[in-house]
Amino acid sequence: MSYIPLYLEFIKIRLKRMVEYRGAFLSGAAAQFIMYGTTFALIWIMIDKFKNLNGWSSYEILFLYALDLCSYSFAAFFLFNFSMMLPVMIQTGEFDDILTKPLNPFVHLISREFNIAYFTHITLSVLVMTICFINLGIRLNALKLLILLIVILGGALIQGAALLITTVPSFWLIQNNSLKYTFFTNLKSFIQYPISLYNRTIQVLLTLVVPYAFINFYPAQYFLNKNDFLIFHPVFQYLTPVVGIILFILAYRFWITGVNNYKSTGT
Amino acid sequence: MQGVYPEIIKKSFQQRAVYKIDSYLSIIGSLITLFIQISLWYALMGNGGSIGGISFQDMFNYLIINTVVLALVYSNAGNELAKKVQDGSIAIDLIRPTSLKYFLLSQDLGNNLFVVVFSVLPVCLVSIAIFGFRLPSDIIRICLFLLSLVNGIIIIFLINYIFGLLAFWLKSTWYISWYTGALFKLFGGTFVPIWFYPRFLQNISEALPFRLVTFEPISIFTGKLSLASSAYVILYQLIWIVILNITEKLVWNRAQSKISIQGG
Repeated sequence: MSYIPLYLEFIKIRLKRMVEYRGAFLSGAAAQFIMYGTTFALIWIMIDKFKNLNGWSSYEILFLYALDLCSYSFAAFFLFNFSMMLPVMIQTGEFDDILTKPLNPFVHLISREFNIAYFTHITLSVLVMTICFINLGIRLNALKLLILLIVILGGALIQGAALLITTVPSFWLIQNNSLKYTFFTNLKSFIQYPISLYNRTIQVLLTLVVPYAFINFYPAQYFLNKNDFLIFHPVFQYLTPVVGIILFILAYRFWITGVNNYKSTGT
Repeated sequence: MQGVYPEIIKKSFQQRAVYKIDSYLSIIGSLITLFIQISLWYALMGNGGSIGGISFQDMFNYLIINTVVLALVYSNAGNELAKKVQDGSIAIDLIRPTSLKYFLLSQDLGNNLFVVVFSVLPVCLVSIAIFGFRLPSDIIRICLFLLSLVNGIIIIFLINYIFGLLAFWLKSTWYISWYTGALFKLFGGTFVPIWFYPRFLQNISEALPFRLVTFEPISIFTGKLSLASSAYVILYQLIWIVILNITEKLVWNRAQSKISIQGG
């Protein structure tokens, strides 16, 4: 615990770097804002043209996507650079360096590789969520706001766990992020839309096997007052934090197994 | 000299083939992407409805061709160029007897052909077996489609290349492809067809070259355009290719004088 100030120091160094390269940071932030903003706008145009998608209106669909993007950003703050760097560090043997420090290697890495750029995504997704609530005439009281925050953090744990689980295999395989692209980025694109679009097998898969549906589909229904629980129980709308904590513990244990398996390349 | 570029295409094709696991995973990736899009549009218009004269079958044809064409026009040239400027290896490329522009284009083509043959086409063929597919009946239309497709590839390559040249002026470059990506998505009709855009957005897209890359070739293929209009599309494409080529020359001339390689 006594190392917490040190971890915060790592994050502070990252922040300072951003201030140093301010121009590059701002151009990058603008690019990300425009890219995601475009996607939001096009989804809205598409759904609005057809009035609704399986009973979900255009703003409800935008809310689903914003909830996913927001919790992803919280996970990516710590784990995006980590997931890019770890395979490289293992291949070059630089990971030795991490193990010789008297710090928890995981916490050390995620604070050292903290990526500040995700503030853009959070700003945009909070903005979109607000627009959705206003247009849908939904008022949030303090309790609902607190639950929204918990849902976002729970979703962040699910996404963080998924990033970790798809990165750890680089302790055994020489790979360049293709596992992550397929089983995280690609597979997660299912939840851009309500999972009631897909057949039963995929709905069960996204709920029980790769539980991405808990990031947005189930909890969103609590805020939007919907009742679209497929073959599952409505209690699923409250389970996001539980699923997140369990998954993250499993992912962390997988990480420990990976670290114990690490054999230095000796370079 | 002419033999060099086909050889580069072949080599980058073979390079992709080395990463076996990557190739298998990319099949799963294409499968998921196409499956989601088909499910989405089926839910939106699958119950036999047609909106503005567009039926689900039209939309399915659009999705299949869009998937193949997007894989064909994928261009990493901007990123590659930016990387070369940043690490200074562009100095070596400049003294090579080959043209850097055509070298990058050949690399893109080799990569894309691999992705199309081994990951996109198998997935599309399976979907076609399920949903059926309507080929244009007359051969002239198919020829016009193929011609417009080649022009489309050249247009998006030139756009990426020109934006990539901005690397000469910028310190950090990873975000350049985000800007071109967003423009292409918004004005190219690759995510939502321009048929469904509100009027003002249709008008802006008309004025820009992005729709000429995949959207208009698809409109030719699916018969949404008459043969005369299709010929106009190709004329527009040729005009844009000339404009982009001139722009590229101008930017390149200015860029060359900007080069300062940090020694090493």
